[in-house]
Amino acid sequence: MLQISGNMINFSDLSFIFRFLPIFLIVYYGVPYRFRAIVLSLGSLVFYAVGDIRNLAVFIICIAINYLISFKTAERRGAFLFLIVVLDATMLAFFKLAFSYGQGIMLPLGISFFIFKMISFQADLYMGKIKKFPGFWNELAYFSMFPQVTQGPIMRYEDYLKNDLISGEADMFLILKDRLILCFERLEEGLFWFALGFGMKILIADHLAMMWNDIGTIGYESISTPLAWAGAACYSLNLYFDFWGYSLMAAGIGVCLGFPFVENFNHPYAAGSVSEFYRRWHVTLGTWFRDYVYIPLGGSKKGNKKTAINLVIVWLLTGFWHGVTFNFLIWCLALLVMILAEKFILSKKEILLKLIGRINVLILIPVTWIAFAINSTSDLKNYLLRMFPVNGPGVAVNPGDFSKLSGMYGVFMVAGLILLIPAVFDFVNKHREKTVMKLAVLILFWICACFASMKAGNPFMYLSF
Amino acid sequence: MKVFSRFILVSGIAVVWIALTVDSFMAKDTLYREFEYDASSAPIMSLSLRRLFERRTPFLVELANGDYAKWQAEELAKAEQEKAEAAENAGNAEPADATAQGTEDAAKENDAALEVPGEATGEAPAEEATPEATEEPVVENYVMTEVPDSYFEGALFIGDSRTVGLSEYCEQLKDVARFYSKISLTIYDFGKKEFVEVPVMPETPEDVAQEGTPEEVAGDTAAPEGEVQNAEPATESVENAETVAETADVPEDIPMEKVTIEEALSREQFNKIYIMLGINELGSGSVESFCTAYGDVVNRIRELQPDAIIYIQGIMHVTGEKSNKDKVFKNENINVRNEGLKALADNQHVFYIDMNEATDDEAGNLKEDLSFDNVHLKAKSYALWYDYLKTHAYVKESEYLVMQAKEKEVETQPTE
Repeated sequence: MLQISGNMINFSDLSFIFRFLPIFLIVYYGVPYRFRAIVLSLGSLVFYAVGDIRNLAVFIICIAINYLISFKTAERRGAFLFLIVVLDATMLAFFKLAFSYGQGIMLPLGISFFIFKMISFQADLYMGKIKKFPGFWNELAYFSMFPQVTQGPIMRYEDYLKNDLISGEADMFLILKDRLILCFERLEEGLFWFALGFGMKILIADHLAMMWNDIGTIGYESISTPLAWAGAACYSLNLYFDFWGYSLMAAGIGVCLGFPFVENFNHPYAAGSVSEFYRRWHVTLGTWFRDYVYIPLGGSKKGNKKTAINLVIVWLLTGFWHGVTFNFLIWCLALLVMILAEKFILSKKEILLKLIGRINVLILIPVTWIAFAINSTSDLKNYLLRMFPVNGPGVAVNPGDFSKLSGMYGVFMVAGLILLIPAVFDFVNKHREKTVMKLAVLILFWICACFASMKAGNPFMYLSF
Repeated sequence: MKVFSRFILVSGIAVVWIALTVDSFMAKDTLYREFEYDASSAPIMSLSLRRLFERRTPFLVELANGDYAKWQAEELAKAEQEKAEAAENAGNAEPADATAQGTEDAAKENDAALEVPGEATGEAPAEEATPEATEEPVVENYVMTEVPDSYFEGALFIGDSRTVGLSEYCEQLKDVARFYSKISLTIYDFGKKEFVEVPVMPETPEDVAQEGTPEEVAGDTAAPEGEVQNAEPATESVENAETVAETADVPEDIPMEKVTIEEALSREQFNKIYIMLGINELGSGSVESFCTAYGDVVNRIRELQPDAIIYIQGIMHVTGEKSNKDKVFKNENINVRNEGLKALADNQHVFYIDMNEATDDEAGNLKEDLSFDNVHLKAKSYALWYDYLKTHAYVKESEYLVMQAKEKEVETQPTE
């Protein structure tokens, strides 16, 4: 039996695309609809085990507890909702803290995401949004489903219910030939999104990640000021296309399995203000905080002071959710200040909001990403001092570094910047049924596969010094 | 067919997938055997994809158009030639196998073509600056001592990305020394990889005439007797470029070309040559094969640069974090190879120095805070390397006193 590499859980890894996914899809489509939730559950557990065997037990315990208590929350018993929310939140907080400050405790794979799915599930169950009790396999499939377990999106249970392959609405009465056609239709649609995400990840994000790594290699205290700003742009684009690309791949796989397309990014950099940016960035996380924290706390309906307090709570939790080190606190506080300023000061003058809002999105947000990226306070200070060189020149700065790195990676930066324009993606989306567009995406897919092949099975690709 | 046009993505992926799998499977032991392949981490199809990534034609296409047959014939010829060469057992056989080189060059095409540091240090070889006053054929003893910055005038550094870093982040060396360094360079690239930028050699006598005839003026101080004849005009044109550079910065009138290190060394003379190579070779070959190849290179350099002091630098360590978890890049492996390199030194012309002494922690690993990626020095850490080179330099015993006197002079002068 061959040993399976842990890279398989990475959607842009060839082992995932050409081994796990096809085998899974054949079984998933091959079985009658009644068994699909079971196939999805078991397949996802295998997926999780390959990715993080040591924490598989933690994962299963979380699912088991949530399953047991879900009987009670379904009966609308508030005490049990409270209990399970506290249990889930404690689990997440414990691992986050233990990971950052404890010795040798690893963060279970995807814990930030599956815990949030569990909390929203229990709340929806309590509030009666889920009409019929889901049952064991559906719950297990929903919590563990492999397209979302590692990095989201945080899909709601109501979207899980929209899956007509699991409910059987789509193909329960179809003959084999029509079932095949249905299967191909779903795959065709899903693969389109998957390939686009694959392209963003492999062609843009991975190259910008190399550039970001090169900047680190120089050392933050030794980069020139132009490179420091280029680095902020580089990291911002890297994060965006890494995550957007991942989200598109996840959404595409979801579509292949019969789920609705889950939108996680909606052109954030076209936003006119920081608060709008975060309504468009990682949408499923933002709406989760809105629906399960901000609105239950009273939202913006209870006066300015209460609104401000609610925003503070939401943003501190958002910071904590991303990580418990000091830099995430700086990151979320910086955003909080900008959002509060927008909401209570800038909103008085529309022109001011329009102007400063844009500046915030296009210039200050990339600066906040630097705080997001660098988790050592002294490194962060060094980096910011190179962006704003108030302390004089840095140590051993080579002024030629900017032209060197922009020569190497400029093309990927430009590609990323072009994709920031919503019209570009919208054009692709609008023409996605056209043959030419499909052929282009097919070619994109295989080009990306070539790039991916250089990473997989070839330990020396990124290891040449 | 209808299905195909309706489901372009699904069928396009499926068909290509099958074709590539067949392709990889058929060629895995022949055309693709150069690729390291680990079945647990990627499907077999990845072999063909890697071939395509290198912009080379996959096996099935080569089979169809007859290129594969040619390849087989070449392989056969190469094997025979190797046999013949082994039999010859000469000191250094010429790299005559043009066919092998051709395929290998193609293989390297995908290598991220990095900026050759040639432009950055274009004004380097100021050979006159180091007066080798007493040119005596008697073998002299060398002593290790601390030297002033001027020691590195006319020095050459050969190396991989670590030396690239030195060229970019060591202020003192930037303008005085020359660098033949490139990311992912290995000792095996010495006569193969064409990346050193040098002025195109004037081929006709008119070209030489055009250059003017100040060669004799510059030639006598720097050029040793045994120098390769071609080298002089080339060196001269660099010097011309330097004077032009003062006004125009970019010497556009001088056509440049990219040549191998070996070729470049036959054109430019240096008084010291520092080599640090070996980290990229860790994953391949044995300690013996590596050291043999290294020794051959050193020999060849000795022939081309008879008057240069050659420094073999021990391979710089990686951090403990890297060393402990990586299968290949382990400091134990580096140490074994460094021992082998050390044995190559004859302490007359070829010396071994190990800059790890300056950058290691107590456990013999690269200090964590000197590096970001566990393999390279941060910009500010290159000063340690430079200081080490300055304090571990070899000079002729007879020059030692002269140097000391000079050093005193430098000390009294304010540094820039």
